[in-house]
Amino acid sequence: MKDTSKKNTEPIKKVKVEVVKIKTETIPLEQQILNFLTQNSSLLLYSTLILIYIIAFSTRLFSVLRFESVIHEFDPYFNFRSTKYLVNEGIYNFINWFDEYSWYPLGRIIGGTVYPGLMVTSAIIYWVLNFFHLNMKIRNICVFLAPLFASNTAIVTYLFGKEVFDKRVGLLAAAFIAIVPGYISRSVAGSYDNEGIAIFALINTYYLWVKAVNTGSMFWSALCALGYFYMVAAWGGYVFIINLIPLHVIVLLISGRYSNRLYIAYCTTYILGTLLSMQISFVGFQPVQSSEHMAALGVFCFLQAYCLTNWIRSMLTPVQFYTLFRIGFIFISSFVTIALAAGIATGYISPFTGRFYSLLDPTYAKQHIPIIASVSEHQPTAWASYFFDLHVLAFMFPAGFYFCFKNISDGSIFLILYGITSIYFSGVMVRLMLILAPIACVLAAVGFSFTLRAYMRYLKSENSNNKELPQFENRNQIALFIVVAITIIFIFFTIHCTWVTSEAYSSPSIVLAARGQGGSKIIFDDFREGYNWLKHNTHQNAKVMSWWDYGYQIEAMANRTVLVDNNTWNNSHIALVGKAFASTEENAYEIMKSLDVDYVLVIFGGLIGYASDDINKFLWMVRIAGSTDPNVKEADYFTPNGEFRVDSEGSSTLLNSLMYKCCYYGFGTITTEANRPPGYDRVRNVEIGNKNFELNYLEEAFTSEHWLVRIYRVLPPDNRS
Amino acid sequence: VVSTQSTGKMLSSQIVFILFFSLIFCCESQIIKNAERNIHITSHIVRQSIQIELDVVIEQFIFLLTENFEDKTSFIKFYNENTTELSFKKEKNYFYVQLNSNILLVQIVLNHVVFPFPKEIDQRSPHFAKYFDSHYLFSKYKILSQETKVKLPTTRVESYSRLAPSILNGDLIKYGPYHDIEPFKSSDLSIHFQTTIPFNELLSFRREIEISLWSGNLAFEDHFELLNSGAKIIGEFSRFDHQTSGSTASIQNFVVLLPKNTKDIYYRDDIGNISTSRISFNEESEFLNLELAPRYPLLGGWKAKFLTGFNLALNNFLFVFGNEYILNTTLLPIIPETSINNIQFSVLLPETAKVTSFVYAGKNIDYNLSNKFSYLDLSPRQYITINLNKTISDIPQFIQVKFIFSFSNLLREPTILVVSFFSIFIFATFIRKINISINNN
Repeated sequence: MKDTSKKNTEPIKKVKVEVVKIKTETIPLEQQILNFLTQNSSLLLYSTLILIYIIAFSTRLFSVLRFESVIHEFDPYFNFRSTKYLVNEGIYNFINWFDEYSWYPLGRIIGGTVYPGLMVTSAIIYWVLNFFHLNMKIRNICVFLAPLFASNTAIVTYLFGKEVFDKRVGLLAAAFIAIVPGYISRSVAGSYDNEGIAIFALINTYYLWVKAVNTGSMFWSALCALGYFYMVAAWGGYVFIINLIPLHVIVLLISGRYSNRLYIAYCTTYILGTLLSMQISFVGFQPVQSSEHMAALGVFCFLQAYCLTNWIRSMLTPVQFYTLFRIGFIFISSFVTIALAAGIATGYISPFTGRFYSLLDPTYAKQHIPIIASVSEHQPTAWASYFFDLHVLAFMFPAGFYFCFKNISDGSIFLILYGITSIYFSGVMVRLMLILAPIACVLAAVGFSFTLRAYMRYLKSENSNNKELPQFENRNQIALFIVVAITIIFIFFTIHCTWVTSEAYSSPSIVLAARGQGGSKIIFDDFREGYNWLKHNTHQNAKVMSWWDYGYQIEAMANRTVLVDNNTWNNSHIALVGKAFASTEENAYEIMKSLDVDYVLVIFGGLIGYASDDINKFLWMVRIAGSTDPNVKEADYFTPNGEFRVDSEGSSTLLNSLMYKCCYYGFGTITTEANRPPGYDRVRNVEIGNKNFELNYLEEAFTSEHWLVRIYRVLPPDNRS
Repeated sequence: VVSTQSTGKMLSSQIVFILFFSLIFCCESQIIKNAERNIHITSHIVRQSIQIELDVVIEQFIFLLTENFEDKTSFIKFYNENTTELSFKKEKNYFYVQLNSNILLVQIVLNHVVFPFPKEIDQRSPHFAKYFDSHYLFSKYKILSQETKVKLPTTRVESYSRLAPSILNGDLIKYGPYHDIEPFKSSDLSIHFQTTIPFNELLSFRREIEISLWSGNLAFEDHFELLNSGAKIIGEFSRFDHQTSGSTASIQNFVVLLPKNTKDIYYRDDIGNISTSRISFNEESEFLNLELAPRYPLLGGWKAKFLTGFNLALNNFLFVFGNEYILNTTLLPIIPETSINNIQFSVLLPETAKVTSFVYAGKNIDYNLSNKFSYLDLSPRQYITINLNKTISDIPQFIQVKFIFSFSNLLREPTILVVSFFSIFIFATFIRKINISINNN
């Protein structure tokens, strides 16, 4: 035996050596590299993930490279200011922070009315870096936080895809989400807002949820609860999670996929997650009181009842069980109905909020709450923006559904549910495109991945004569064509994403840029000019009246007290400011005196053609003022034909309103364009109607270089001219 | 006997000598033959140059400033006829100058002695100011003959005190010659004139320097708090008028001169970059002209805060003698026509360096020491700060910081990096090896 075996093995060894020799001589370098990579697939995987990580971060840096490391837009300025407060004053002072600079004379309890996740995240990064003496300024941490978390999102998306399907789906999904414009729109450098970290928290929670359901492990369920806690701390959108997960449970139950894994995952996640979420002071007792959270509680109770029923059924005969079930069902359902009715009637269970209603009925806000309707990001989504924000993903999305149904599992049902609900929500509000983008990436990745793997197998050399594969004519050519086509689509997708990021989503909006004659860059830095003037040349306790859009910026950059800001928690206070702007100078003076206003700030774009100025927002001020004071009528500001005009045919109420006067004071003498009369407004493209008026109760205190920011001093009563 | 005689002689000659000199020093006998004052008012900064001619050569000359000028002097220097700088001791408004000659030249720069008048104007009104002084040079000595010339920024003079003989010629007022003025005599001089140059006043200036031996770099950051201390603007500010005809004495540009090999200049404030600045190279003075326009024009009474930063190669500023290092740099950049109220200057030394002395204007001065951590520091760095009240900003003023540093400490940072990365890998390897799951498989 021993001898024969030796004889047998020796010649084989020789052959092997020969084969290796031949290979090293003939195989080209590329093939060698490919072989190396396929043999070390984890190296390929990790290097791809690292590349995705870097790409996700760096594609969001356009605005920093073009402008500077600066916080963008409106809400981020509040977050930035709060983060600075947190870093300087510590966590307890932050939670107890009463801000007297906003909502004069009411003030605002900031600690109890924010989702602190964003600020705490930056503060922790700041503290950790400073502990190691890597002195990074808090502004830079805030600016680069969103790109950093976008990179993290790509990694959890990979894990999510891997958990539901496999690594290939995960990698594609991660690559998509790294560059998809729908997500970039809210996570470029400087866009320091809750959404920047919330999408990470959202996908992370979903990944952990699917992992918990798949494993049935309490460990993963507890981690899912922690992920949920982070999401609650970060963004109000956590309500989406706390409704989608129960929905998933119910659908699994109905489709007969109930398992003990599901029971463990849901009960652990729900109990821990709810307890944790109640630790956020802004959320408080809402998880057990408000209607938005009732579905989760209901499913939790239902699961217990379902288990109890199963257990009882196993002990009783079918007839006994049927009788018991009938009695129990009637009893329990009437009890639940009565409890709900009592809760709602006594006000213990709060009704849905306006924003939630407008989710269910897109026309609700427009009719009832103008302050929600006035925000551009609350408008319904246009069809084109699906293509703009998702590009090819929007088309591959249904294919993803198809493959999910084909490879049905607990995880793929979750993907389907997430996809369907987010499509609906994104149609209601533009900003919720953000929720759709991640699932669009995952589902499109499913679609692409399964399509590719269906055709790639024909191209593999070892499969060329495999009879198990479906056979059809020219299969290799067709497969090649499809793979090449998809590659080209990917290339175009990348180009589109980069272009959209660069052109549409990378403007800081606090600094405007335009191309001058000869292609030189002209910077309009008027906002900061005006705010800086306020900061250094007005009294520390001066109160500034402006429309609420600029509240956060004035607080953060000018460090002055404002009447209303972007928090919009008090509708009637905003309506009062709207009324002041809509009134005549004399009536507005009374309102301003009663509110101790020292300065009035308006944004005027008529000189340089900046369209989102206060005159264009003016109708919303009138509408919001009219929602609390019936004396302010929108119709008064229109011409008899129902037009909103600032030229000589415009309504006289409009032409004598405080807003009109603040914007156009001194404008009547200026020639803005050649061959046009003086006082030609370059946004409305008309010559203004009321030109040479004087101000009696205000005086011009400051106007920025391009007239974008105009600040007026409210004169003391004895100084009336 | 002989010895007593000789000592007696010596004694008497000494007494005579002492008597003679005490007569001289008792001042009564000394007189100033001729004094000429040139007062140059360009903006709100007043430069006086005084030439004093004595009848005899004396060792110590006592120069006086009027009391209200004493705390407004940002610069005073004494020279003899060869323009050699003379040392002096200061006691309140008395300056004891070691002269040893009969001619004394004095250079004085005064701040806060030109007052806007009227104090408040509107945007379009011309800007007037008043200057107060004495017709006579304030002196401890009798002055036989003296003359004062005042150069004004414009030819428009509203009024001026007329102590004959005085004559106004264009932008120049000539007072004197006055004869036989008794010591300590004064007579109020006041001039009311128009100014066009804005009153740049730095309420505070703070310079922070960080030495980096690794990159051979000296990083500067200068913080400015600028005020237009001219007449306050009242009433409305019209941007249209400002753009078409300009505003009275408003600060549009603020010029800072930097060394010619300055690089990486930035200009920002606490809310971001300021895009309105220009750099040009001045061939004549070999300086970079950094023209900083504040975000908004500064009209009378308006303020702005901003900072600039730049880097310079360290080897032009740092001199090494074994373990001893001397950093030789300037207290502040050259800022023409600007008065400065408060200066803070600080240096962050390399890690483990110990400061030994701080020299400003040729003298060791006191400094505050505190600690700061910078990138990758294990031990705190010494942070040296000095505070100064007044100085002038149009000539370079040098400071020297001497410190001890051991060259081997340069290896600290790379060692930290190597060790920390290595320990991360060790840790990761360790983590991968241990099994943290509860069940046995």
